[in-house]
This record gives sequence, C-alpha cells and structure tokens, in this order.
Amino acid sequence: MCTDKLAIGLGKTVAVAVILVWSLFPITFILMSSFKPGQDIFAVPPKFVFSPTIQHYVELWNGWGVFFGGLLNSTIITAGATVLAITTSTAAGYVYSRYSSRMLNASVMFLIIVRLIPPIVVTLPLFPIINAIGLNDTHIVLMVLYATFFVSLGTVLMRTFIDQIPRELDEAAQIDGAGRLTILRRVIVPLAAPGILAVAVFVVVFAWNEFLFAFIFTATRAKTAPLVISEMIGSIDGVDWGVLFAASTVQLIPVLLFVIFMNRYLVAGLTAGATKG
Amino acid sequence: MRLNKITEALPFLAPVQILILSVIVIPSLYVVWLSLNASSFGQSATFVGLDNYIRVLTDPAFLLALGNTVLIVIFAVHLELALGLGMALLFASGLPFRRVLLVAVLAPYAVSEVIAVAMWRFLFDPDVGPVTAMLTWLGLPMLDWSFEPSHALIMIGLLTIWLHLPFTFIILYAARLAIPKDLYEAARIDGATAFDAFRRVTIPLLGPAIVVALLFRYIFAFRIFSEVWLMTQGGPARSTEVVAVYLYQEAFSFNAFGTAAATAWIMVLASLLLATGYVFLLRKQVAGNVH
Amino acid sequence: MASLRLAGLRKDFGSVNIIKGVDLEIEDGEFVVFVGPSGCGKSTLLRMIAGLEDISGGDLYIGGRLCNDIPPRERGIAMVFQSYALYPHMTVHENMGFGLSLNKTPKAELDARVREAARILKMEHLLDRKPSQLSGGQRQRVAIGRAIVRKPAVFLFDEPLSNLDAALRVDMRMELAKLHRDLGATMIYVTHDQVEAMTLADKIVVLDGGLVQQVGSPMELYKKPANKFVAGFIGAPKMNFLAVKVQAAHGGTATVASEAISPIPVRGKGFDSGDSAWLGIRPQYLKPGRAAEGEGGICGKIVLIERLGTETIVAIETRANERVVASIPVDMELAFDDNAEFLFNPSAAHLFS
Repeated sequence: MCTDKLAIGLGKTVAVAVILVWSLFPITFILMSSFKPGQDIFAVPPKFVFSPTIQHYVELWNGWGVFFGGLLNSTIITAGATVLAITTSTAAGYVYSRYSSRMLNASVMFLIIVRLIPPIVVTLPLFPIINAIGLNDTHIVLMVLYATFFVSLGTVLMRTFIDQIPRELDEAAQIDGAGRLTILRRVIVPLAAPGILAVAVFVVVFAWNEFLFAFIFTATRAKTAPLVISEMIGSIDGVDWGVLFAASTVQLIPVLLFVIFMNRYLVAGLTAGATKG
Repeated sequence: MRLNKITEALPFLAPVQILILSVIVIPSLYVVWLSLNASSFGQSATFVGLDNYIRVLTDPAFLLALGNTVLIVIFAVHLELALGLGMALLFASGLPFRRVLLVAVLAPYAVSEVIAVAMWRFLFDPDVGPVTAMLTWLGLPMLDWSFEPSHALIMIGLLTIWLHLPFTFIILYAARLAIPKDLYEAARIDGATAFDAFRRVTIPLLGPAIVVALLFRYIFAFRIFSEVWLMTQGGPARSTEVVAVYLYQEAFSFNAFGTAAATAWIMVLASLLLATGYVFLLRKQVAGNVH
Repeated sequence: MASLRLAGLRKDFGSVNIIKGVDLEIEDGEFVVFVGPSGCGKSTLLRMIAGLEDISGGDLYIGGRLCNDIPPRERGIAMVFQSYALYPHMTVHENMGFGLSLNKTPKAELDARVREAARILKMEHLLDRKPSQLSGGQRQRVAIGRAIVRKPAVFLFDEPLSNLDAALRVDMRMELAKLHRDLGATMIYVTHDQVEAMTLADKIVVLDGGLVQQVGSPMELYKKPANKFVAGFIGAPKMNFLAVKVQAAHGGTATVASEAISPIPVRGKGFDSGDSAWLGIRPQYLKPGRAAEGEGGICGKIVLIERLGTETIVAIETRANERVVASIPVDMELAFDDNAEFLFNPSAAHLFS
C-alpha cells in the first residue's frame, strides 16, 4: 500500500514535470535566449547560466524600427477590435438573453453556423473590394475583421453570462425608472463583467497574434507586429536569431501576462463557449 | 412585457448582425458566385458552371493538399485529445499548486503562430536546434523538415498540438470537474476498482465533452494556414501544402479567383458537414437537459 | 395615494388565457391581498398592474388615470419582489437610492429620503453594506426600503415573505401591517399563504384559474365563502366536504343526507330535491359527542391523531370512505381504529353545488 502510493506519487511528479517542460520550455527558451550573448544562443546543450545582455534589443531598436511601428499598430488594432467586439456582443447578448421569439432563436443557430466559415474564405471577395474603396493597409479593416470573427462567439457567451443575472433585477430597475440602455449600463454590464472579460481575453489574444488577415490586408502603414516577426523569419540574408528572439519576447510578454492574469476568465469563456455553442 | 417588441430590440441587435452579414455572410455568398465563374483579379467574369470545382477536385496539387490536411487533422487532433484527456484526469486526481500548474498549461494559448513557428524552427534546426541535438544524443533520427515533407508535416502537427492543447485540456478538465464526487464514492461502494470507475463512470460522462472538443478541433484544424505557411510556405515543391495554403496560392499567387473560390466553398461545405454532427449533438444535449 | 380600478383585465400568452377578465375596485389606502394556489394568475395580475406584463385586454386605472400603456416608472408604484431583486453590485444605500438617482433627484434630498426609510425600518447601520453581507431578513428590509424611498402611491408585494423562515415570516408580517398603518398607502400583496392573507388584508381577492372567485374582508370570506373553492382555500385545517343528496328544498333551506349523515336541514339556495351537493363543515365546528335532535352527526373510525397542544386534530374515515377532520380544543383520550362520533350545528354548515 505504502509503496503503491509512493509509485503513484512518483508517476504523477514525472507526468507534471513532462507537462511543464512541454508547455513552458519553448517559451522560456525564447525569453532566455533573447538575453544570451551571440554564440551562447547556439550552445549545445543549451546554456541556462550566462551573462545576460541586451545587445539583441539594441540591435532590434536600431535595425528594425518597423517592428516598433508594428507594435503600435497591433496595439491600436487590438484595442479597437476589442472595444468593438465587446460593445456589440454585449448589446446583442443582452437581447438574446432577455427577449425571446422564434426569429431570435433561429438567429442563434445562424450565429453558431457563421463560426464555421473559415476566415480565409472571406478574403477572396473582400480583398478586391477593400482595395477598390482604398481601405487596404488601414487599421480599421483589421479592427472590423477581428471583431467580426469574434462577435458570434462573443454574443453567445454574453447571453450565457447574462442568463445568470436574475430577470427580477431588470424589472426592479424598470420600476426604479430605468430605460433599456440604463438597465444595460448600470445593472447588466457591472454584473456581467466576468463574461465581458472572457470575451476580451478571446479578442485581445486573437487580434494581437493574428497572422492571416494581417498578411493579406496590410502592407506598410498598418502592418502588425506578428507580420514584422514573420518577415524576420523569412529574411533572405539568414535569420538573425538574437534579434528575432528579442522581438518575439517583446511581442509575447504583454499577451502572456494578460492571459496569466485573466486565466480565470479564459477558462470560464472556453468552457461556456464550448458547451453553449 | 414590452420586451417582446422587436423594434425595441433591434438597435441592440443590429451592430452584430450588420458586422456578420457584411463581413462574413454576404462575402461568403459572393464566393459562391465567384466559384461559378472564371475570373482573375481585375478582369470581368464569365460563367463556367461547375468547371472550377471539377478543376480543383482533379488537380493533383489540391488532392495532395487535401491529403496533408486530413493527415494533420487525424494525427494532431486525436493525439491532442489523448494528451488533453490524460492531463485532465491527472489534474482532477489532485495535484498540489493546481492553479499555478493550470496557468502554466494555459501559457501556449497566449503564443502567436508566428512566434511558435520561430520557436519550432529554432528548436528543430538541423544544425543548431537543441531538440535536434537531444534527438541525436538519444540516438533517434532528427526531423529533417526542410527537405523531407513527411518530417515537415510531423513538425506542423506537433506545433498545432502545442498551440491548441490548452483548449482541449480545459474543455475536458471542466467536464471532468463537473462529474459529482459522490458518483465515484457510490462506484467504490459498489466494488468498482479505479479502472472500472474510469471505464464505467468517467468515460461515459465525459462523452459529450469529448465529442464537442473533437468537433471543434476538427473544424479548426481543417482551416490550418499560418503554421504551414510560416514553416514551409507549402514547399518544397508544394509537397506540404494544406487546403488553405492551396487556396491562398490559387488566389494570390496565381490570380485564379474562380478555382480559389471553389476551394473555399469546398472548405465551407466540409466544415458544415462536420458541424451538422456538432449541432445534432448539441440538440440532443439540450433535449437531454430538458428531461 | 391612489385608488385602482381593474375593468375586464385580460392576459393571453399566445392562445393561453392566464387572466380571463378581472374586475376589481381598490380603495385608496386599502391593503388588498391576492391569494390563490400557484398558477392561478395572481402574480401575473400584479405584474400587469406594475407594468411588467402587457395588458391583453380591459382597462387598468391607477388614481383615475388609464395606465395600460404607461411605463412602470410613470405609474407611481413600487414593487417588492419575492427574490428581493437587490442589485448585488450596489450598497444598500445605492440600492435604495437608485430610482431617485435615475430621475436626477438632488443628492441631499436623495440621502435624506434613503436615511428616512432606513430609520423607519431600523437599518441605518446597514447602509454601507452590500446585499451579499446581509441576512435574509435584512435583505427583505432593504427591498421594502427601496420601495418606501420612491414614495409610491401604490406598493406592490409579490410573495415577499416566502423566502424567509417561519419565525421571521411572522415578525415581518407584523411589521408590514404596522408599515401600512404608518404610511397609509395603498398596498397590493400577492401570496399563496391564506394565513398571510387573513392577517394582513383589509380586502382579500381569491383567484383561481385566472378568475376572481370572491372579494371580501377576511371574515366575510371565512364565514360566507361564495363557492367550494373559496371555502376550501380559506381556513386551516381545510374545510371538510361531504358528498350529500338533497332530499327536500324550500325557502332557502335544504334537507340533505348521505350514507354517513342522517337527514338535516341546512341553509342553501337554488337546490332541488334529488340534486347532488357538497356539505362543507369547518373542522373547528365539529364537536365530539352524539348528535341530538336537530344536530348533524358524523361517525367513523379514527385514522389520524395530531396533538398540537392547544388543539388536537383528529381525522376519521366514515362508512362512505370519506375522510373528515375535526379540530378539538381539548386533549381527549383517543386511539387509532376506535370509533368516534362528532356533532355539528347545521347553521355552521355550508352547502355547495
């Protein structure tokens, strides 16, 4: 019995260790390597003790100004897409939660089906149209695209979260003299905050990291950070790994911290999103 | 109450519906029209019926891309499910520092495909990659992904698993936590061993969650683009293309919007087909909850 | 302050009639209780008065003004919900002042009114707490306080005490009665509990199946129930109903009998000899003993004895297999399966068709 327990404990420890290495090693490797001096990056086996340097960050700053422009673009686009997705899906989720009619129920099905259309499909017609109206390579295009591909999930999620707020609160507020918009702002939004944060995690992570739309719809002015990094990977004169790791670290750290701090809402959102459509 | 009045609901509903209609639905329907015409960027279209579909479906490059996609979907999604299930059970069996470990497992969710590819390219670099070095040290063959298409597909598969394991894990873990503890106590009183309990209690009750996780991952793995494009650009010699990359090449490299559109609708139809299963299941679940 | 008039009020959900035409006058300052079993439409009727449910037909006047299409906030009403419906993210003070803050009442006045309501309900010390930090009874007070702050002409209560435990419910009932005396406002109160109805109401409205069964003061309903439903609903333990046949009828008196009851004359209009009828006798009007001439008598086997201290509830089963419950004010020597005899004064009996 005692040895059994020991064996199980040992097995679990090994399993946890493997999981941690699998999940964290690639990330830590990049973060660490971005501070490694020149040849230490390529040392085999990898060095875990080294004298840290910021030389790659200096090179990044001097040689890849476009990357910082990309970061700024990513920030603007992420903020815009998040605000757009949250406001629209909260309003719609509220209606879906509180009103019911055959048409609305049918349109929930529609929201779910829309999620099944692969994003690359819409690039075909949108590419010429966006070029024609001169919106290519602008922030607004990516904001709208990113938000749109999350509003269906966002709406369904918000409905699930708002469903948990008792209707009597709406009614009490109505008797207190609140109109629809006031109820939404003063009662629903504060109480549905966890849902809003869950939607925010989805959109922020997606918009900050997205590659395909950025690749197709931006060229210079609205180029996002991931796109600049992809150019570093593909640069003809060989990859400068040190600079690439520095840029990756800068791009990764904010979103990684965000996910860590918001892990509770991410888990809630993933769970609700999968079970409720 | 007044809630039933659709006119009052409309302003709240309109933004979402307008976004979806104008960005997703109408363009997707326009793609149907495109797929029935021969056209390229900047030229007027001529109606060709189902020609584009026939051309795509008989194009060896498409069939290869389809084969690669299916391989990745089958290999990656099922392996991912097995890993996710194992991890969910491990976590549910009780671990110290569970919250911290959970956050560690979630971390890859934050990583963009671009950076993940950069990591992978370095870790598996034939000359300097630490993982390559470790494989060699262990006497295992290294992954020669820049020359050997099958190796490249394995790399891409592993990368997909790494990026999406958090999703699968969370779905299964949440479902596992939702199984009431007293069911296991009852099973123990009934004389079930740990394995019996797993087979007769855990698996049947996780069933719906497993199917949901699988279908989501099938649908999303089927549209894989960035990982492949950034890793190999479909090369060498189009040997590692997947359907989405094929579509991109047709449209943006060869300016063949007609065949690209046909490919797009083949993708949509495949997703819808998979989803019918999902919707059907969801309906059954909803009906099950009612009773 | 306001009176209310409901004229032919109807509510349909699709093809289902929930409220089938209710006519009712409510005087200014009256305490009116809507009572009935669950599903009888009492809550729906209250919500129609509040403006939370659309009115499908008929007219609703509050203070003489037609209110069918007026939004809740302009009806001069306040409502206390069964679940209290306190805003969880606001303090007690903010909860109570929410309505006033919405119509831009100056801060000083808002604060004064919230404190006044808190003083009336003796909960000034709770004003900075959140609802989650309050006990059930305290939440109930906040919900009532929120209503008071609005200074409504009509208070609406939707089963406000049903989430409280028994002891607290009795206390709150007394407080509500006092509140009504102090404020003198019109109050409409929905409950399924006939004790609450009897103790609180100036006027009780008994509802069943979307129709008003009877309107009257508590004692009117108790003494002169209009039909079998009201008779069975008001009073505890429930009134006994025995199937009888009318043997003779003339001038407001009918002579009835059954297998278990020898012929007696009881008050009852509109019956003809040969009719089937129900004889209703309250358990409190059954006395142990053998019936003398001119008294009704029932006998049977004892199947249940409940000794409550001040009274004893005895149930017997008659030869006709009907169960009859008696409430006797003394502790008697009784045993299961013994035969027992009860008598009653025919003038205390009711006859229903």
